[in-house]
Amino acid sequence: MGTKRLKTLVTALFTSVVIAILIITSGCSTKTSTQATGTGEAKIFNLGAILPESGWGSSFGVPAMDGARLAVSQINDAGGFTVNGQKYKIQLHEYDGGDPTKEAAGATQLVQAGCSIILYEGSSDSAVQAVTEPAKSLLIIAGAPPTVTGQGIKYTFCIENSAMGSAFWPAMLSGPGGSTLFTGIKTVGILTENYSTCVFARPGFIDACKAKGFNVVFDETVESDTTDFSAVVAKLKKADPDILFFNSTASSTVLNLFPQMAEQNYYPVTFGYDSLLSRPPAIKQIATSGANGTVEMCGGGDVANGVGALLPDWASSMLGIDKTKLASYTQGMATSYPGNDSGAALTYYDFTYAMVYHMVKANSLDPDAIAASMTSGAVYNGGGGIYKWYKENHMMPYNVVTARVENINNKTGDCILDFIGGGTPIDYTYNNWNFTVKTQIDVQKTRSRAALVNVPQN
Amino acid sequence: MELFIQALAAGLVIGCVYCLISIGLTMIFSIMRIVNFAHGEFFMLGGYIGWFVVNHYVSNYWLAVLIAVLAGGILGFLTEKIYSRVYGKNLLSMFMISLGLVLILQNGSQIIFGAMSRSLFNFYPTVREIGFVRINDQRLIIVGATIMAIAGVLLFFKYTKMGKAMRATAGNRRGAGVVGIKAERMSMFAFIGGIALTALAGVLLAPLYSLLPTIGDRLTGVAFTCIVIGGIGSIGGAAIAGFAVGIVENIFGTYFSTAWAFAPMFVLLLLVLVVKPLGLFGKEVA
Repeated sequence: MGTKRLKTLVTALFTSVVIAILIITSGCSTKTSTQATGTGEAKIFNLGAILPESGWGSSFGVPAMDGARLAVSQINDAGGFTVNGQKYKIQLHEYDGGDPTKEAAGATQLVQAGCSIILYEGSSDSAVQAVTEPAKSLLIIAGAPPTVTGQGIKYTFCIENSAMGSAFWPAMLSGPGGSTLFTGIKTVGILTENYSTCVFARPGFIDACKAKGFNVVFDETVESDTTDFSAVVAKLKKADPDILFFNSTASSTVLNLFPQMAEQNYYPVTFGYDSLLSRPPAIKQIATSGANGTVEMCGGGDVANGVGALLPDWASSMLGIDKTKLASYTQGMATSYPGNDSGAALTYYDFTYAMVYHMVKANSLDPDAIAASMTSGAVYNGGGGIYKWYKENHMMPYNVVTARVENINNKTGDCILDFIGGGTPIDYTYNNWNFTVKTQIDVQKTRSRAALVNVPQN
Repeated sequence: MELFIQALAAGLVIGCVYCLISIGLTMIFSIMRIVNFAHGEFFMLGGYIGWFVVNHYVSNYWLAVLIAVLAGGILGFLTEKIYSRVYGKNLLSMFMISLGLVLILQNGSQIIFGAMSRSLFNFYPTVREIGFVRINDQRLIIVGATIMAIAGVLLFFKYTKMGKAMRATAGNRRGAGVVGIKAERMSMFAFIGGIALTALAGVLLAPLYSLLPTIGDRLTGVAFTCIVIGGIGSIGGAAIAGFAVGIVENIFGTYFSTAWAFAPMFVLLLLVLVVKPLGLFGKEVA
């Protein structure tokens, strides 16, 4: 073989290897956990999970997938579950939803792999649902926009939606002399992360504030991968709202806002959606002590990250936390998945168990039978709260406790929490709440978060 | 006025980072004419290496900076070896290698460092008030390091034998070879220096912003824009363009919308291409 031909062959081979590496490391393929041993008697039940294990949503997706894996391994190690006299072990099909444009493709792959239940969190809810509904695959979501639930939707179920931002938080705000969590408000600001539920929460929040006579003086939207907030902080300082709603729930990168506000010595009274408390300590390291004083929601799934140990009895009762189950979960996470303890993990851990509970209760693997069980009012008592779904819109009663984040350790991300109030929705609309106020914050008397907490700022 | 000056200061700091990355890319591109799409990934790696050193070995930021820069140099050496196999032979192969490197480095970082955002502890958080401007020490360190790096690079290329040889290779590769300059060695040093500078930018910025395996994506595009605006082969041009892009981006984001902060960079690029296609300080090369 001539030298020239040999060189051509080597080049072609080299190029082929590069292409192969491209495909192998592309990170968009499904992987199947080898949890199901498929021994003689037990059949395989295919459970799918589309969660962002890469990209800016990974701070939620990585622990969430770990939570699902822990639940699957525990269920299989205990012998699996029995439906209609047949034993089943779970095979978890994982899909990295780090790229939102590929989530629907992931759903197609999982449906084709036989997954009749898919756990999901991402930003392409409608596209994924367009695959799962016709295929009669149950889609279980932690946070979803209002467009994916409601009349006509049979197989999609979620915990929360943008009503948290557009109904709960406005209800917690009032003008001078009110009896809500925050009082003395005249002007509000809203900084929105360009992510599905946040985008839907924004108009509802603004409308509710205007109806209360609050003037919206700041309204900006940032991408989920934003890290530089110098322009945002400068504009925010100039607008100086009485209170700021940091409408962010998915990305950890946007938490870079807090240290940059601290750098500018600007500590507006801030409340948030679900950015800090449901994430591991590594995420609070990003927010730094600049986030001290922020009030965040703490739902049923947010308790594993050290919060559960601090949760006062009234808050535990409001969230419906079974503390004995919580203990076994945290022990399991600490042993099996060290460093990944978080509320996101607990949520998907509980989702997995809740699905098995309903399959056993319905004594059927048929999606219609499972969906009927889920909307029958039956309750699964999870490690992180009560899991049940309203028949009208397939949403869960998301009982909320609000906590002021304090004393974040910049090196470890550990923090303490001051539980100051909370609420339970009265009905499936989320428009009305029963709430308890433990500590009221008058934003006119306390213009700065720094004054709310007793720790020195960096 | 206060708002404008604060925006200018913030833009200057970001401009420093763009400047370092662009100079690094200019060094590589001017000598090898390689479109290295993975350039931004070395910025990401510089940040991660710094984080790894501080979190797992010793809590010393300057040691982390030194190790990140050295590691960047080694990575530059290895990357040059990969490209040199197909250099000048097959454009498609070089293109594929470049894209492949992006995926390998991003996914490799994800496997090694994890997919979740990471934060390098800020050892210099003290905030100072300089006139209207509030700025923390880490940002001042970025500005200082950038000025020193630019000065060092300019002096290197102007007064050292190696620097002159690299300039000669960038100007005319064949001609440089005729006078005894080994182009392959110049390419190697260009890569070592270019990637080391980029890694320096990453470890300098890491204490201020969180790290993700994908943070380098956008920066490659910014770097290419800067070197085109500044003029291909011009170190000074790349530096000025880097500062200009950072400042314009920040001022636009402050006064208009952060969602459109990147638009002015491309408007600037279009203007330069129309008015001066070779870039502000670019020259025709053989």
